[in-house]
Amino acid sequence: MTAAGAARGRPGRYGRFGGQFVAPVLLPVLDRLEAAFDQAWADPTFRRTFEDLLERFVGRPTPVFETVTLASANGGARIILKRDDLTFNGGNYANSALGQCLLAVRMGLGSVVTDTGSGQNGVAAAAVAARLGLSCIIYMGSSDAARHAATIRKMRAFGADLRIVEDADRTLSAATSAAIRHWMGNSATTAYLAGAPIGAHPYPAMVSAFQAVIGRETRLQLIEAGVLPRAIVSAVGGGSSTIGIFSAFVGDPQIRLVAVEAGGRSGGDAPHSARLGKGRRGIFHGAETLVLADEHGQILPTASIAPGLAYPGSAPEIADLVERGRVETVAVTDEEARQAVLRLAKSEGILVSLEAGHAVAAAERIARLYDRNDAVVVMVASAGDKDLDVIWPES
Amino acid sequence: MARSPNRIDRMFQRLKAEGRIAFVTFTVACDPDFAESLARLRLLVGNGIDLLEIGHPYSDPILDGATIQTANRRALAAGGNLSRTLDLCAAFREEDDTTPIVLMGYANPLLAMGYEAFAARAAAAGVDGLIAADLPLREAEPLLKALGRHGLVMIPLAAPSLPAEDFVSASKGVGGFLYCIPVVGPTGGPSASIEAISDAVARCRTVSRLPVLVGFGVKTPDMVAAVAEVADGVIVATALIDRFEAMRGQGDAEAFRRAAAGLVAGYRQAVDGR
Repeated sequence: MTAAGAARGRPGRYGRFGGQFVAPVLLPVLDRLEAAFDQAWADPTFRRTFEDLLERFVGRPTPVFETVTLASANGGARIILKRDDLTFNGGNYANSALGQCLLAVRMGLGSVVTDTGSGQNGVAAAAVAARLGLSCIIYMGSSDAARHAATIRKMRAFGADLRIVEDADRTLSAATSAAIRHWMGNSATTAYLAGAPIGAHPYPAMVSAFQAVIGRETRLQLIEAGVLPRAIVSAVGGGSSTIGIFSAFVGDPQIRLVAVEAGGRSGGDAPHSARLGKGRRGIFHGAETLVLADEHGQILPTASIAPGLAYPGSAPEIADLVERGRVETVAVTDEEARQAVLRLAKSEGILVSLEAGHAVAAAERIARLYDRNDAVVVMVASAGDKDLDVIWPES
Repeated sequence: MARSPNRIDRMFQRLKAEGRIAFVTFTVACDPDFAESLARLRLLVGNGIDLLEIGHPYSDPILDGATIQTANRRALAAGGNLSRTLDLCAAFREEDDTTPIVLMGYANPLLAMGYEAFAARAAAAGVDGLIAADLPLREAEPLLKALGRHGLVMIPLAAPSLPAEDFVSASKGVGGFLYCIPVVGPTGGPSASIEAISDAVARCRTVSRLPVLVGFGVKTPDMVAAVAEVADGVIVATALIDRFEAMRGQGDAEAFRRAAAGLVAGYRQAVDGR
């Protein structure tokens, strides 16, 4: 196959989104990558190695786990968490970091370069690269780095070369641009690792294929538990966990798919990261997609308490699902997300990331529309240890 | 103002007749502001630049190194954007209807304006061609049609690793010259050897009849002179912008004008082999 959920019509196209909007020097690199990925994905040995390491190195399958208290207070639907926070390193990012690093080894490349916002993709890439003997360079915006000292130490513990970016808004977007520039100058020896199904073809298709394991597991686990959910709710940064879990349910029109965006600080014109709901058609970081940009096409700064959600572009596949009306979007503010993380920690003993807190807050809202016989599934992409200093700055 | 769609072709015909090669530079529109940018365009042409590559400012110039990123940021801070860039071109055309102008920039502002509206406005402003750093030919079909309708051309970027079909096209919207990039990586990076440049140019000539200009990593007058031996033109961008910025802080406007003029004229002499 040419990757899960792949394009209708031209390769790398999702409706009118997708494509390969890159410097021409990268086209042969992308073409080689596409060919290598298609071959690898069709190769049972590659698939077996990938699945074996997903199980024993990443810690899959992750459980689905029902909360006791979250919905019952309001008499709403049951809330079931998909616990990718329980992977060994980097939450759900570990899936695609593993797939892409295995592909780099198969292609004879010795290094990988990537970018990270919250640090999760960086930790995942650093750990897998260490396991597979690849050298690993990670770009991170200085504003994100300042909030995640422990995560930085973790990446360095795995031997990664961490480079702090003092550019533009000093968050994920600037880190991504820096990583892509590095890759352009070193593509003969270095693979660029996409943390999300964003960017030029074949990245969206490739990351989507590696992340589809989340959806397959969830579907099976729900069937085993006899649950037909009303909605699947996932927070969208780059969109890796979202496309991962949605992929198995896109064909079930009776199940609502809800993408949760970062509303930032509430009110008025405060900066946010809601590019699916409020963005415009644009070309950014290699693909045509929904983007936060002004009327002149200049990329706008984003804001969110959860750095993994603060990104001005979106996955072309998700942009297409939104445009076709298959995926709904909602926005959750910084404070709503923070309160959801606190509630879940205190009432359930589960500490999720602020990114996942956005999804939990939205799921609580949606669950109120239904009753106890119904269920809402929440994608928990990552754990909350990294956010302790943000949630409890006073301690 | 009458539109002259073939300023690029006419320039190459003239240079060929004179036995000279083209000297091209790049400057970001509205860096550091509209008025100074306009004055700089005139200064460049007055001191030996044959063709102007004018960058339309963008918030995320991913193909560019630190120098041009900073220039983009200065221009944005001064209110620069694609629309103001076209205003600048139109203002330049009031005094110069000969020097070809090629816009250089990124796809998102073009898409935001709309390809058809962009091509129409660019033609009216006296623009002759376009270089789009992140819009390769395989994605450019709708834009090429619009450019072709208005007598503009897209100039393909030709890297040594690129298959010919990714920079050669019979489309009416493609032409002008081939922008030969002998190194991979962002602008302002390391230079290629003259042997590598020579090979890259030779390869371009085997697959296309368009004139071949070399840019990216061409920095010193010596290197300019060497490139002039093998190509139809030389593009010096980052090295000039760096020097201009350094000189700006060192004196009044007149001192800057004199120093900048001397610098450009020095490169021109290297291009002409003197």
